[in-house]
Amino acid sequence: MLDLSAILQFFISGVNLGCIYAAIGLGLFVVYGVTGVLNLAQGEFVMLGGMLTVAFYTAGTALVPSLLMAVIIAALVGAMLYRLIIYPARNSSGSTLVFLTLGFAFATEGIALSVWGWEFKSLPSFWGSPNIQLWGATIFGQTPWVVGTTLLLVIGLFFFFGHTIHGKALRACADEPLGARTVGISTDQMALFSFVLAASLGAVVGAVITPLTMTGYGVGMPLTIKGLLAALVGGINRAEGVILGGMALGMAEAISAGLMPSGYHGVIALGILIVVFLSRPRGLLVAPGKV
Amino acid sequence: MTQENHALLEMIDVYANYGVVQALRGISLHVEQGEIAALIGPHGSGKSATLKAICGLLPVARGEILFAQQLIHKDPMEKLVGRGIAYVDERRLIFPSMSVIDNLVLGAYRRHGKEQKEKIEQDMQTVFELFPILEERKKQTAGTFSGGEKQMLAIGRAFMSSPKLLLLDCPSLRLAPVLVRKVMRAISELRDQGVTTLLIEQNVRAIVNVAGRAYVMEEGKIVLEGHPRDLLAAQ
Repeated sequence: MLDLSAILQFFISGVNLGCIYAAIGLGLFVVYGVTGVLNLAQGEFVMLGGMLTVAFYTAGTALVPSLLMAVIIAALVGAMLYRLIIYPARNSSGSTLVFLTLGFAFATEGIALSVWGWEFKSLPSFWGSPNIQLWGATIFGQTPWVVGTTLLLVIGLFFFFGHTIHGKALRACADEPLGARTVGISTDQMALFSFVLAASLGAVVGAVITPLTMTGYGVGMPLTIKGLLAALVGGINRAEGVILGGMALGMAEAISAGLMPSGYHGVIALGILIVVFLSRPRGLLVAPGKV
Repeated sequence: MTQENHALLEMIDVYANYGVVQALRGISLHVEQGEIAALIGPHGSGKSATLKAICGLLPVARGEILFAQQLIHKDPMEKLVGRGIAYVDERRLIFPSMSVIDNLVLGAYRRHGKEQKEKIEQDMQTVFELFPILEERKKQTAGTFSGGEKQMLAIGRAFMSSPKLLLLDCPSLRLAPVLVRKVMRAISELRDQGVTTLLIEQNVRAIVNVAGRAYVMEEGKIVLEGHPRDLLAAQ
């Protein structure tokens, strides 16, 4: 029989994981919405954000400048991915572009391995935030930072897409690319911007989760898969769907981690995906048959 | 001074291809400042290709296109919008998931600066006066509109870019006669606002009271030019 503290612990872990998956899924959503490309390198920006922040921080730079420099470098790498790899192949099929992002992900992993080695790295909790005990459950000191950062990212994205001219221009590119060009929006510039934005989002998430999960050269691809599952479960065409998908996945993983052997984590995530795809092929927020 | 010196738009011996298919075969035409001109002709005669060549969507293989005495045939569409050319595709290409007001605001995407803010507000009012239904439904999602309403929105959105030249591909396509009259009246009123228009029409009767000049196209060439009334009489 589960007691209240165990249920609360599952819930806290679920929210924490859900925020991470939702934030990664939102990076995928931004790029997919504007360019139609499933960017399988999204997790690599999370890895870069974490590794670069650790590198700068351990070299003696303060936390905030370390994080900012990591985000700027990741954004530049995102711009390179678009300009040097996606843009020249922009007229290729969707599957070709997906494989190109996959190749970029493996190349980034290889470079990270040669630069930083195979050891996992970590950061202390931001500003030494202490763990909190709540009715027998433990909230790690970094968890409020993860949840708060995700909330800020979500609010920021909703404001950007809903209330700024550039956000609306990005949505216009997703809605009707040729129509966007007829009003003078450069779809190429918007595509570049979407990769930069997604890379920056990923890097912020990477830096914030590192004190909690640690980071290493190989963390990118598993995180991409989790973010992708979140996006597909909720519906990659809608930000609300991606957030819902991330939360559902995080909760399911947290509960399964408490009740089942650790080897079943992946099974639970994929099981949810299969059930959702069979019942709602376009995601939880889109009824079957609707676009 | 010759008539061509006043032309806002001039095409000189323009050739363009859709892949291996020759779409335009030596098109030469001009549109005067403040004029409404029309391209008429059967399906596949090169009317849409002509508009696409002007607005940078179809590469020009040979010949020249001048807009306000400037060569424009190598400029991308995004740049041409800033120069004052607005294009409305026959599919309307509105942003379906966005509200009417957001569609119109994005029409003014290339207009920057504080001095433009007031003018954009005025242009928005002009659009609402031309098409009152857009003001009534300004918060409605554009994807829920009927074909006629989408056409009004597409023309209104194009007007928001403050165009000198408006290119309209089949503005009356699949519209009920009452809506066609409404759209044509709006085009006339836009001329009164100083907007020059080049439009495509299948039926010469629809533009006889609106356009001052029409070009008849066949197989990628212009075969006749004149006032629509004269062309109708010749028919």
